[in-house]
Amino acid sequence: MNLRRLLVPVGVLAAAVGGAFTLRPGLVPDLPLTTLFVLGVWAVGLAGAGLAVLGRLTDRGSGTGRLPTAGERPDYPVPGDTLAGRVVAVGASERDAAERDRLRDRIRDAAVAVLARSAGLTDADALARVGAGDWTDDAEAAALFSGGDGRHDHVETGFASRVERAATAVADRFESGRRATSDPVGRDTDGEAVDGEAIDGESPRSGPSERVTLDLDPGDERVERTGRWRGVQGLALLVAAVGILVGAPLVVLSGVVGVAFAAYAHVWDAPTPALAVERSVSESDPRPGEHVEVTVSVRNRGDRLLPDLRICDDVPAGLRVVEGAPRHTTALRPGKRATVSYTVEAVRGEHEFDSLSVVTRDLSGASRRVARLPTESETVTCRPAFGERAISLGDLATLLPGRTDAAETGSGVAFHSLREYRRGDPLGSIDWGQLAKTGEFATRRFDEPRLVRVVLLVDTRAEAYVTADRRHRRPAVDVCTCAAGALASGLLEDGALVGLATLGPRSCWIPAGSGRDHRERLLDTLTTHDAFDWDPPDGVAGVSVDETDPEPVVSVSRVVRSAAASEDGGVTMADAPAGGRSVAVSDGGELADADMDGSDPAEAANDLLDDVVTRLPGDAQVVVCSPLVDDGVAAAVRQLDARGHDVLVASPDLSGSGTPYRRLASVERRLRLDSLRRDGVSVHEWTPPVDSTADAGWSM
Amino acid sequence: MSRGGRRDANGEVVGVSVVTRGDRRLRLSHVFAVAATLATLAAVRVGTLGLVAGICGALVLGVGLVRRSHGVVALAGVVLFAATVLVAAGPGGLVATLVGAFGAVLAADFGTFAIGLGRDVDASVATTRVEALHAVGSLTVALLAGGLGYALFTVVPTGSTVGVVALLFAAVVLAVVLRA
Repeated sequence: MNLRRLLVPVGVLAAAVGGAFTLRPGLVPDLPLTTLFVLGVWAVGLAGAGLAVLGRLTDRGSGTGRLPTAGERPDYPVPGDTLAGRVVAVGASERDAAERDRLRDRIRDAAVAVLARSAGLTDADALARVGAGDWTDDAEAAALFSGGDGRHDHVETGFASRVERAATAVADRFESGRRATSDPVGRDTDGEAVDGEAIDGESPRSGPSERVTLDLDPGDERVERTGRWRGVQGLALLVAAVGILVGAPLVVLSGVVGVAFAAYAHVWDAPTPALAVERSVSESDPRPGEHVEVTVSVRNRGDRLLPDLRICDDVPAGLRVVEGAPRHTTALRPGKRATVSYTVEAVRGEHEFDSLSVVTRDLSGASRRVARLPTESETVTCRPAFGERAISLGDLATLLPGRTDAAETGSGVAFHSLREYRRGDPLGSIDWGQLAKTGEFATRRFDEPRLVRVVLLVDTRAEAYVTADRRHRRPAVDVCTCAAGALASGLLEDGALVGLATLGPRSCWIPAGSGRDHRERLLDTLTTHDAFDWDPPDGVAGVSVDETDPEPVVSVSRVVRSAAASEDGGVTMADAPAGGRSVAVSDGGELADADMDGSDPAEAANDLLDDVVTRLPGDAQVVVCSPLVDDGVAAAVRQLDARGHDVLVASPDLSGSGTPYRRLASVERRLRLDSLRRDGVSVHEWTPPVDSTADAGWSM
Repeated sequence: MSRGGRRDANGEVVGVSVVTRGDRRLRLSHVFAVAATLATLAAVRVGTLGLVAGICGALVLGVGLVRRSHGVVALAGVVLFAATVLVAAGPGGLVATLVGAFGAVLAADFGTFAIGLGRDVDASVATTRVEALHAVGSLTVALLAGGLGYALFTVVPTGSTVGVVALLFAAVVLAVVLRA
């Protein structure tokens, strides 16, 4: 600002001198001072101009200054993609050594588990073989763990390629092992593999396109320079300099172009849009897959012309535009109106249209005003028929009589067993036939149906916003929500009390209940609660959700657990990876990177569960609906199990294919499921359809 | 809509460059850009060197418009402008210089405007009014500034290098300062 105040008199003075010299060339004799001035301007001009023109040419004009996009779902990652991003981002220098170790450990854990499983080794033996490097034929992959162990030499080149080879080797080994043995027990194979071809084949919709968003809240606005005329001042200076150099007045004159447009670019600022916005939707209660036409009409209620008005309707996440476009550009005179109309495909959820992104530009296009105008709210609510899905529950039951078979005996109608008569047994329960046969009193016992309480726990963390198919972009959260709906109906039908909770930052809790009203309440919550939204929590778009690292504690607990189970060599097993890891953590002293992403899943699970366990009745069974893409949920499942709840896991398979990292993520998930099964947790798995409108709930 | 995109070593699509439906539409600004280029070519035809550079510039512009690249279109503007400077330093007259210079800048202006518009809206949207308004604005500036330059050059008998430089300097400084 101060510089500007200084420059104004300089500019005015230069203009006056220039004018005087131009009109009266003989006014000032040709002094050395004048020549110096000319030379100075020439030098500055040449340098500045070169830089400015260069800057303009290297500016691709993309990214900033674009109208936001709408009508596409957030770009959810495929499991494994974030790992791929981390591997690509990691460098060879010492600074990245800790991150490299985390990645290495993650892949080592998978390699050890796969090797132990496929070759029938103990974890300690598998670890030793992985360390020795003879677990795979691929020397480069083996070198990831054996080549000097990387932890001590802090600079490492070729890391990314080794990681990729190792991931491939792990996945290959796992898959060959799986082909040799049959499918693991308990795998729910009723979901047909619909997505196998769809993932790689062409889909009706196009591939993912870049998502542009305004970083603005409704009601906010800002003014930006577009940089459209950047470089034109430089051009003026450059040409003037060249003209003076070659002594050609006409060349100097051509510099007037640059001056003119440089000034033009600064005359106006982008106008403030004074718009009256009306929006209407053709159907506010559509069925899934139904097309809904949205019409937005804007009227310029200001008294200025809007020479370049660009609008983009803020289509709620989840809805995708199938026809027409939510974006429009026009020039609007005062009082005039422009209308945009487009069609979206309805999906589960309550979708609120409540703002409009507006960009106005001045005539030259040099400045633009970006605003999000709040509009009257228009809501589209799409309630899917969730269907019904029965699931075999565990034995835990309440003390209340109900309709579910529990492992309890007492009064009932179905015969269970005979036992010795005890004093006080009711006369009616004595088996007189037995008395006649053996001469001894015996008491008949009956199965006593009990009331079962089930809480459906849906994984709605940011990590669960992954998809198997980047074209359809159906997030795991939607799959799990639909599954929870189907389970709720099925369980209520079977006479259980059903409640609902979420595992994630957006909390939702419905205590267990029964009856038609309760069912409606559950399904309504699954449809409209923002915990089950299509946008990830605290997540703006672009979704750079990081999969949490399978970090120290889980691998330690896994090793310790299997050590406890097998009892032999417990010390070495508990020692090896745990020791190495704890050294890495405490030595490095870099809590910062531990915090960054690889937070402890057990602690994370604690935080997640805090809210749930305080409200969860002790006699409740828990059905966890989660894609299980990281260890956080697995740790939470174990904690619930340890608290005495019967835990079931319903996990849709959203594994991607194609890249080594996606395959590795798929292997890790499978190992996670197997480990849960070994711990006695019942796991139900299915492959969901890629398209959210293709099924209602959990397809049988 | 394009199915193209960057693929990684495994043939997996890792990103698709922004190619939306709007991109393939021929817009009014494309026509304006070509017209401005032709004007520059007509102005620089008096000098062989300038004409060669001008044709190069026209080709670059064509490539830029087809590939929808801001940078390439801006480069075309610079090349066309360089052609004008070559002619102005040699055989070119006053009018040819002004027409060539403004034609070059307008060609880049219209070209980049068309590309920006193509990125911001879909093909189905008619943008004639916005484009026409933008063109009128730019053309007005060009005519006014060109007329002023013409008058200055013809009225002042010999011209003063120092004076012109000082005026240029003043204009640029003031333009920068007055940016609110």
